[in-house]
Amino acid sequence: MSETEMYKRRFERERLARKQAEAILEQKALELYEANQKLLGLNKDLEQTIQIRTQELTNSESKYRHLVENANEIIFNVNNLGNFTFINKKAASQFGYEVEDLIGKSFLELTNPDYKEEVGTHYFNFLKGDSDSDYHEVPVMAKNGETVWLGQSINRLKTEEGVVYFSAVARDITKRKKIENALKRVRDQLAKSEIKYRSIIENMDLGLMEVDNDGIITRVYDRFCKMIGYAESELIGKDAIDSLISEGYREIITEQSTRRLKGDAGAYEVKIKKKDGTEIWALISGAPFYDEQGEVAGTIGIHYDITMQKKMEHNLKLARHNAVKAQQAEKQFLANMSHEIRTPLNAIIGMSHLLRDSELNTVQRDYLDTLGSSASILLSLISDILDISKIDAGTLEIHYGQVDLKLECLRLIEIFKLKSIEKEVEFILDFDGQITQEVITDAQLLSQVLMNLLGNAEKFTNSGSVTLRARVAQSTVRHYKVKFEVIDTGIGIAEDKIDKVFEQFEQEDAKIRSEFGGTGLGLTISQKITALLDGELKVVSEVGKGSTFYFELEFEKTGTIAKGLYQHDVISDLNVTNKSIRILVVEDNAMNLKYITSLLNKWGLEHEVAGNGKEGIEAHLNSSFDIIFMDLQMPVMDGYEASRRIRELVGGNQQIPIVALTASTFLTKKNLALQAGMTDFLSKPFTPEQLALKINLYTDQSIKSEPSTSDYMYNSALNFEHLHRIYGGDLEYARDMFETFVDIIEDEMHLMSIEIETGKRETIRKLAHKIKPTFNMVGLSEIAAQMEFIEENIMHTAIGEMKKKFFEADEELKSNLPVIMNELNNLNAHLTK
Amino acid sequence: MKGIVFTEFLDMVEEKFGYQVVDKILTQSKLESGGVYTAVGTYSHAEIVALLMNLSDEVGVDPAVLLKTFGHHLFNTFLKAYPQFFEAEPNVFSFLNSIDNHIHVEVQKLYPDATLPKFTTEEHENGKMVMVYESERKMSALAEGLIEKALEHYKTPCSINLENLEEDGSKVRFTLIKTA
Repeated sequence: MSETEMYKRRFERERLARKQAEAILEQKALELYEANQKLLGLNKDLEQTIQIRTQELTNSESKYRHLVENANEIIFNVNNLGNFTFINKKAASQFGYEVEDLIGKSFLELTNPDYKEEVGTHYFNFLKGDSDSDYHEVPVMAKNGETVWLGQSINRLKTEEGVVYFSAVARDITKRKKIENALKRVRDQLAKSEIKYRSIIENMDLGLMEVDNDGIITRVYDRFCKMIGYAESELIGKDAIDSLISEGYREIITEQSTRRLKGDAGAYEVKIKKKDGTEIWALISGAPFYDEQGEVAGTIGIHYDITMQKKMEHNLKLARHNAVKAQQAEKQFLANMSHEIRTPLNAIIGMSHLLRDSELNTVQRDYLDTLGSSASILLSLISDILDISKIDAGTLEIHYGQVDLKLECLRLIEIFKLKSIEKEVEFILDFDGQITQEVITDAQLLSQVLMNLLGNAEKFTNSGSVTLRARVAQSTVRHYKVKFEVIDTGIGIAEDKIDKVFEQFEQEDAKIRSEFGGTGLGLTISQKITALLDGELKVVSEVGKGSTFYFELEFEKTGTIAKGLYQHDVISDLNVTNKSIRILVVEDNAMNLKYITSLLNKWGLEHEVAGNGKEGIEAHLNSSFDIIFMDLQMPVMDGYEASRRIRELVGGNQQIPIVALTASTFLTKKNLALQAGMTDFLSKPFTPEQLALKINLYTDQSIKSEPSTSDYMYNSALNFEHLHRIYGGDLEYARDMFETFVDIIEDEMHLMSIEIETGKRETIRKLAHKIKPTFNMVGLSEIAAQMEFIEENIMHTAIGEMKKKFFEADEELKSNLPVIMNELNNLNAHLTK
Repeated sequence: MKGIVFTEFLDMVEEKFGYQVVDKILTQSKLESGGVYTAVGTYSHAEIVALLMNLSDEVGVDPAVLLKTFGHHLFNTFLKAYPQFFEAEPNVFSFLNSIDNHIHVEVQKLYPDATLPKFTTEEHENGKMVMVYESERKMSALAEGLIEKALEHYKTPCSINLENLEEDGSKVRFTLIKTA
């Protein structure tokens, strides 16, 4: 039983195992089927995809093929022998062929014969080389014979079968090549012309050098090397300024270099150091040059040796300088000489006057008249020349001062009235009443102009009138613009000559010269002086009717009321009896005092004298005077102080005219006098006429003091001209003065010598001032000048120096005393004759 | 464990001890599968251990000896079923070397759920081979039986020396030295 059961169990196990295995297998088979189904599906998808891809590939290939064939690019393939295996339409047509004509042909066959070798070599090298691609520019000969330039890119490829072939893509670059060739030709021409011009420049006398932007020398041309003595190798790499430019000229270069960087060119002159140490002058023309990017790469300098020119220029300058100096010296010489000539000329005139007084026959008298008038003409000519040369030499100075224009004009008119008393010509002053203030100007120069013009007018007018007119053209708070006119009714000036009248030495014509005389310088001088005073002298004229000379000047107002305002325009006739007037003379110098009082006595004028300012005031208070003549420098109280005090007195005679007697020619002294309240001034030494003029002007007198002459001859060692001027024919008066001089001079000089020893400067100065006119009174002008020198310099010069000067003067006096004594004897002898 | 191990084991038991012993160990053992095995099925490893232990108890033979004997039996089965593996290798050492590198790789492909021992070569030179067996199943005796049969098959007598690298027998070094 157990065995049976065991087999049953075995059978059962076997059966179960089979079932199990069957179930597993069925399961596996099912899985297998499903996997298979899936695979089938996958396969189908795959086939479809392949079909689509294949279609796409076909499409794209045909598209690309179409593209390649119809591309605007030149595309072709060649085999390793260089024969065409494919060529697109564009390429064929570019070469002028059909596609079929070219397949199988060699590329080299198409190449321009001139380049065949070069192209062949190039591609042979490419074929052998490792590179798989290449670019080359190849000229192809088209069927019509024209050359087509190709920019050809070539790639080394392999077919599926492993056969090597080459695929080329090319572009027609003929146009570019043409431009390039044209450019190349232009460049070649440029290079040629550069060589040409460089050789021209090199052969010209110009030295060229190039520097970079830092001023370092980069190239030196032969000619420049020769110019400066260096070899190019000695300069390359050096700083141009340091090596070549002389001190003092480097800034110019530095400044120029800065401009060069901005692209500016420039030319300039500098000194250059040569290798041997000498210097040359060079004119450098610098210009920037540019690199390929258009940036300034440096400067090229062209050097021209101008050493010779510079030398010439320098010599010319020197010559010009010398010429100007010579001209100046000539003018100075002329000015000096004129002065020197005047002295002997005065002698001639004086002599001729004296000669006239001697017994002469008619013929001799005629000769003498000619001699006298010639000498006078010569003197006035010399005076004019002196003025002109002073103006031209620039030594004529303007001395501005306070001026009463009306008084000046009155004075001038009066002079001419006196002068032309025998002519039937009326002198009229037409003065604008608007000019109420004194003005600032140079009275002397203004008078000289007006005097000249009036003198001319008088000369050319035989009947009618001469009018001096002063009109305000414009008046502002601070200025008057005054138009002066000198109007005559004379012969006039022809229209075609009118422009010439102002020219030096020109007169209207020779006839005028012979008829009227004159130097022809008067108008020139007047015009120049007017110009100095900022005016312009002009003229209008009509032949037969007269001329008008006119000019305008601007004057600064002073605020001082002009005294001339209340003067009569017309001075009373000479024959009118003098009204009785009283005159006060305040003067400490005995000689001066004697000189004035003698004249006043002669004219029959009542007068009193005072020795200093204090006495003067006392006299003024005690009595009534019509005019005071007052010395400025006096002991106790000077003239300024006395005048100030008189003006400050209340009531009575506060406004009495006070005329300053001044030995100084300095305007400052005169201005001080006017500031002190004095009315006018009279410069010492003055002539009797000048004194008379002042008295007439301020006191309504008509003293006639005609210069009288005498045949008396003063010793030529003395200033006889001056003596004649102050004493005229009044030899008695002269004798008195000489007597007085002899009486006092020794004491005066002794007094001064004592002061010189003690060294009191102020006292010495005052003494010198006082004694100075004394010497003038006897014609010892030289000693007077020495005294003036002492007076002016004592305050600021070593006493020793002054002492020396004083003893010189004393010596001079001692040597001249016998002359004075002799003169006194002669005068006495002459008077008793 | 693959069903073939069970069917072959039972075949060997029947061959050596008769179906009574087979029936006895199947009946005695408490088996999940109920003692029904097919070569294409897959069963728990514990079942073969239980069958081996019951067999050892039944026949009074050491399980290691039984396992080695099973190795001899299994080698012959493999040789018949998969001759290509043996034809591909010219000598026993290259064959042994190919087990881990080639045969097990193929087995794993066919049966992804199979748990295979590692059998790595440490030394392989002329006349000597050192290999390490490594498996949680601790069935190095089975491997030894297989190796003995392989040496016999390739007619290459070798001394075999076993050395436990882990005490529980999960890692064992085999040193084979050719003896002739």
